[in-house]
Amino acid sequence: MVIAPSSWTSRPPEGAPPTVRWLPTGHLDDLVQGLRRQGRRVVGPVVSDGAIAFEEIDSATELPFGWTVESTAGSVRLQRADRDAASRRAFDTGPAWRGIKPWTFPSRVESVGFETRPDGSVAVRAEVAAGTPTAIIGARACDLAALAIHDRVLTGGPAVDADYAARRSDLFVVAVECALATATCFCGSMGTGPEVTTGADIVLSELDGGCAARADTAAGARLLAELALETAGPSGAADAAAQVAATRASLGSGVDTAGLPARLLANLDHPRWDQIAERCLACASCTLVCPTCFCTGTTVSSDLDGTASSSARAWDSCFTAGFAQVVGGSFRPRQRDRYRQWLTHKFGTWWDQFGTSGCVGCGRCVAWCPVGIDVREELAIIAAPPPPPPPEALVAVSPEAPDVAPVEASVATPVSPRPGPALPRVIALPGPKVDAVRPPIMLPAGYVSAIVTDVRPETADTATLRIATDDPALLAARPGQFVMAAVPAFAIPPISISRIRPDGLELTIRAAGPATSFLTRLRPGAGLALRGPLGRGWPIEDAHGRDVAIVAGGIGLAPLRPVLDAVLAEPERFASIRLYVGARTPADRLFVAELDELAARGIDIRVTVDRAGPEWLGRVGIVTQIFRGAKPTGANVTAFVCGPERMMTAVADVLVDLAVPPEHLWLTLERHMECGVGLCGHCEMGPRFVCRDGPVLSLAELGDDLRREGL
Amino acid sequence: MTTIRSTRLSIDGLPPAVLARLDDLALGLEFGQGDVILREGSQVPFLGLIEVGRVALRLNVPGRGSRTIVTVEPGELLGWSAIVPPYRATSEAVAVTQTRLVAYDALALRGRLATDCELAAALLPVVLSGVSDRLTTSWHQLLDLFAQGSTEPW
Amino acid sequence: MALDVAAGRAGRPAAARRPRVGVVKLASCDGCQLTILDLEDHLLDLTERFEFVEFAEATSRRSSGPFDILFVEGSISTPEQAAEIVRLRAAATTLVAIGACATAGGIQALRTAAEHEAFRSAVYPVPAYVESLATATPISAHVTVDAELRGCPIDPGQLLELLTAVTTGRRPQLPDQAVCVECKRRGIPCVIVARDLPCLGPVTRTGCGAICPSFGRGCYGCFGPREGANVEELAGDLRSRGGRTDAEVGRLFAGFTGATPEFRGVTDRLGGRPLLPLAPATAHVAGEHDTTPPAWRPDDARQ
Repeated sequence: MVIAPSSWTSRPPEGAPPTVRWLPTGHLDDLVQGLRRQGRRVVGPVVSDGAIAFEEIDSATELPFGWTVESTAGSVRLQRADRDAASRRAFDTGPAWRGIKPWTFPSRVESVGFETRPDGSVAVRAEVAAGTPTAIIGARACDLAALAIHDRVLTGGPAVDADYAARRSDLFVVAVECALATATCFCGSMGTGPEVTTGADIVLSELDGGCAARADTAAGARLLAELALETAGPSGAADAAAQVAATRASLGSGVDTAGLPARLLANLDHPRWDQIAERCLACASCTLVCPTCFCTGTTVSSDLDGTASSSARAWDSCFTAGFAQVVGGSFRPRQRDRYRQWLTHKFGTWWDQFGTSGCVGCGRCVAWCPVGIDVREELAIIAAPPPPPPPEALVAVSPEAPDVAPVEASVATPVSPRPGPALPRVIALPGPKVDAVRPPIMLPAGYVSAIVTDVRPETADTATLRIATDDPALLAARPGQFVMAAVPAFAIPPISISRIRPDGLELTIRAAGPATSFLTRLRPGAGLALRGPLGRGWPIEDAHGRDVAIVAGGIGLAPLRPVLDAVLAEPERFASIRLYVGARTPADRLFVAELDELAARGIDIRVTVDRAGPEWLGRVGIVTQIFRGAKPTGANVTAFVCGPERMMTAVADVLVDLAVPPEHLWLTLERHMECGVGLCGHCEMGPRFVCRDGPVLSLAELGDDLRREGL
Repeated sequence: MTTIRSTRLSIDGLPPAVLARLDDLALGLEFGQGDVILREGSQVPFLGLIEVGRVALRLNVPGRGSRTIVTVEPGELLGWSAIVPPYRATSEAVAVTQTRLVAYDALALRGRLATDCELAAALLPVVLSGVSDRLTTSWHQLLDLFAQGSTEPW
Repeated sequence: MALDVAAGRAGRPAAARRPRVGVVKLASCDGCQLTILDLEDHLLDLTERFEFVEFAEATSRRSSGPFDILFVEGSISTPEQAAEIVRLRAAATTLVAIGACATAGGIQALRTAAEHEAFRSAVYPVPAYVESLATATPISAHVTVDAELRGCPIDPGQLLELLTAVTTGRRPQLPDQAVCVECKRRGIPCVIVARDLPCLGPVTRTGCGAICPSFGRGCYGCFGPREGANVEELAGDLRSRGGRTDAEVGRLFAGFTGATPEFRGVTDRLGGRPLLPLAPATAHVAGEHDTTPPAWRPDDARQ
């Protein structure tokens, strides 16, 4: 499939300003039929179940003529518009309740399938249905601003959602400039509307008796020409401009966006979070009606045999309990954590990730909250602007000073200038590395079949699989990267690579749940499918010429083994090498024979266990204790640390005390990962997608976030 | 048993000059692998500083046998109960390898600490730091960080 | 959950015997059992995979065990049932409670918070003939339950998911999210926001596919409270909308899962539990062994 993102962004045809034409209300259907003649299905607003929703229409008569909407926090009412028959309108209804999102990013999409073939190998099916040529009529400025954001999120990074790209690639948009601002609309303050400035092929302004229509793209101009409309004349254009100006003037309270991300992130401990948590039902409605929320969860369905399965991605929400679940619990156990995640992401860290706000000011989250929580009020309280600085201080601050380097936008231009000025931020984000040469990863594609060639039990619950593959990408994996390891019928876990071989990979897996248990029980000859390598690995080059301290706890030794391999492959590049290993009991130690052999070769390896019987003559205690006999001290140390997060923070404390520089102290984080490429949203931690921006991050990059509860 | 010079010894946070003031109380002790150095509940005869070897601090649970809680290595203290009432060993201490330590007689040391404020001010934080380490270790062990979680998505 | 009956494909030879499955009922309406029969397209596959040795709604074959998987419908409402569930538990490797009665007590659990004797007297002409407990309790209040399927009735899709999980050795995907999530995915506008209808969706676990809102009515909570259900806030919201009285709101929570601690707490606080007059509804005196049934009276005759 060819993606041509540049063609999505509307550009007015070259030359003179577009002619405004007049489309009488009675001829609105000509537009619909003109689009249908192009072979498109036409989607427009209709009255459905007491609300306005975008649905497929056959004729303009299905549009919500004569209806209007009254919308306040927690209440939306469809009403008969107070207009006479001659001035009856089709687009008097404000934003549709789910917007156009269901047509570009459906609530459920079959993604990838796996099947075990008779020979034991696993076949992969990852077809993306070709997009149906579609025209959307009646989209609002907020809808198009959200579409531009989705373009950036779902197609603008190193990974692309192929289903979205297919739906988006041939989308024709007829936008409407709003003649009505409901009490929940605040597009004006977010810089997204009510004027339609981007993303539409044709823009309508509905006036009494018809619409002023202008074409913003060549395709739009062709269609308008086909309809043989008269020009609207100067008064039509002026009326249209006056109407949208009146709409803007009638917008109610909004959001103060100046410096908002920094103000919000400086208040992560605000008592208001707890107060919201008491009101919030955590029903997830706000996120699911939000036109920019893009988080999805994967469900697996299979036949009774479990030989064939298919996965689907469905709208998910950071408000649900399982969203941030990993082995051992959830990273956001409290309601306040989840609300804070949503609001700080939407208005704060979205900037770090995508160079825009995540909010377009459509107000759907306000209107459709059953208990009427209003983000405008909450932001005003939580991110209250600091007292105005003395006048001379204002001069010193650049109004556009970004907190982080803006991510290069390849598709959408930011919908509004970045709010400034910015307050100082603790967080430094590495930022996704968009490789100009490498084509984007197209989800759900990317799985390759592979065969298990050897299985070595490590402990009672952990085994190392040796996997043969000739996939060049997998063979080019770097230490610290991970793969998604799929077998039919099971959820797909992220597994770190424990050895990179010339002919394949090794994965060391602990049987923590059904999927990982199944993987550890695979036998030589069994098939599986891998997608990867994913994530940012350990920066081995950071340790060149330096003292290397590798600190592992439990299964955390697995992703560190490739570091050891890499360092021992060219020991002359490193000043010294030390390995510190903690395990639960002597029987839970990994790679025992291998480490014994290395120790015999003179590598400094120190092992401690949490608990042991009298037969164990080695060390007992926690891993930080074994630093004592051989301290990794000073500015020349590069440390690679992996283990439970609590253990890593304890290790980081000790190493910082020993003067190891935070930018040379590397940790690898565990989060719930489903897509592995920053598209599903589960692994977010502050501004990072741990799967894509990590999982390896330096203490300097993590800053205070490492210890922050519920982030 | 041999008399020792403190110049051979070092312990984090304690100036050698202060340690030298205890030279007249110091005795060198050696233990073979498996030797019991302290018995749980017994009076602790000395505060020890490990020079060489490894000592396991163990608790016995009837029916479950002996469990090593922590091991102590060179540069670390053994027998802090020597100066903390009720002066009883909180665990059994067993040499798991050939071990040599410097021992400061408990009674004499307590007498010295009661009269020599400068010594007390220097030594007590070091001892407390050792106790704190043992406590932190125990807390982390209680958390059982490397254990299997009860819920898992995969 | 101990759902490793089939131990998955990896460790299990293809020719292993089929798991013995039982389906039994206690105090219930049989609706959940019928849901199993609703899996029409899959029944042949299921009987190939499982040996149904006890399933009164489907076969005259009877068995007292042992069972590899035992589905139990209904709540514990009589002393007999309290004894029976202990026996069944001992006979079953994996016990799955199905439906609102078995997982939350069901509608009959309303008596738990009311005057049991008054109910008996009001409902039965000769209460002495009826031996019942003062409570109707979920299976988990009596024995260890390995898995629960909620709902009144259970959702056939979830049942199939559970059975598939058992045969494949994976974890059943039974989401613990609000019904709202399903409404939004399906495109059903919120009936609270758009129509002020009373709906327990925000505090109720999904799994039903939002079936009630899809027919334009509020969720009545038959799947029971979800994780972290903020019932107090929802009750307050429903009270402030449409001028409902405390008792009206309390009654919304006193439904098929009204005996769960979360929902019961609301009804206890706001009232609305359907209480009956303490006086017996008929002139018959308990214990007189009068075999002549009294004339049936409509409800309003008792008021």
